[in-house]
Amino acid sequence: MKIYQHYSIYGFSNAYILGNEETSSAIIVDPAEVTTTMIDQIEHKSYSLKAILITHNHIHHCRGLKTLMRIYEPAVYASNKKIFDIVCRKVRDQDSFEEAGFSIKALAVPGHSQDSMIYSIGPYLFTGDALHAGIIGKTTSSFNAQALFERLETKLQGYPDDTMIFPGHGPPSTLGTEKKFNLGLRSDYAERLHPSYDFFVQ
Amino acid sequence: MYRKMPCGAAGCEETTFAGSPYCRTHHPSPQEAVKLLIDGIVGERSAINIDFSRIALNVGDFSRIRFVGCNFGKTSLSHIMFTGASFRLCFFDTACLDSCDFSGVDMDFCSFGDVDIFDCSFENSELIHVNFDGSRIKESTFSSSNLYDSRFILSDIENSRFDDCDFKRVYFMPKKAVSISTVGSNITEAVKDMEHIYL
Repeated sequence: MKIYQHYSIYGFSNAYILGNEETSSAIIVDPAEVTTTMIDQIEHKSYSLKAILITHNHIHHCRGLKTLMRIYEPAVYASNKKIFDIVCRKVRDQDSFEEAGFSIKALAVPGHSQDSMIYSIGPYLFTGDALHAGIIGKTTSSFNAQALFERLETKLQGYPDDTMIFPGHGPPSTLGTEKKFNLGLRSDYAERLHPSYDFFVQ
Repeated sequence: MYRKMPCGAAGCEETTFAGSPYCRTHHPSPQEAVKLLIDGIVGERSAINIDFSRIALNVGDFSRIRFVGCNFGKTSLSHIMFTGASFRLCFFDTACLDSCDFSGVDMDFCSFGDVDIFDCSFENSELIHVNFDGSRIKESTFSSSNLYDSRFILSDIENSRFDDCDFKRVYFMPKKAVSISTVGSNITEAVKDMEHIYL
């Protein structure tokens, strides 16, 4: 597997192309935008774009979807039925499927958004906005922060510490580093957020 | 990329070592395997998708070499020169770096999580989207570097210099920061508390 990371100035987000040289096919995770570099990487390697995986439907993670659908005919996987009127193959928690020769497992981790998914592909986790290096995704309430914390803790159990994390924003990390140093994975994280959220409801 | 192959010895569950078909225990000459790997990289001037994990290296010159998709996890590197090298998608998590020179490097989308960094220089470098979370950084310098979108969450930083650095979109939230110099840096641009996280 070859992984190409692309940084999008629009929303400061990461898009990933995953190429399988054995099957000459590729998938894209979160097309924040489509650049000529991305198209070049797909075309120069003669990859056939088989699928697009959307971690959640925030605009800065799927803005390039329409453009890609005009050029290629990939299947779009998301926990939504439709994104921009594009029909998606709806994935649910623990769903497993194969695309481009990769075995992919979807993990539902609502909290940052209700449709947040993590895609587990081999020793890599594409975490979208659920888990970043050092922090977890921003939530709209301490209840959602606690829910996201509990789901991450439950669903990432059993993955080895050297599992590599490719987030929707910011630098990469490993699961071992996140377990030890992620501020959002500390049990008192949601409690400490209370004052800032309570400010709005008082 | 970062693929770990099982050791060729029957019944062994360890992963292969330094590009050889065996793990460190079953390799007849681990030192020779490391030497062969390094000679190959220096000759080719590039290292693509190489697994360096658990290698211990004392003294070496990897100046101006291009590293892509390499795993340096759990390595122990001492007095290694990476001057002017370029790094893309490289992982150094839980490594131990002692007196290594990363000055003038062009580094993008790499991870140094939970790393011991002692007496290392990252001066005059492009350190873009680099994760230093949980690292113990001592007696080191990052001066005159672009740290755009890098993270120093819960790191221990002592006696280190960050003079004339670009802190734009940097998450600078160390657990401990003793004798840090940030002269001439736009440290006010850095995110320093949870209230200002905007992802």
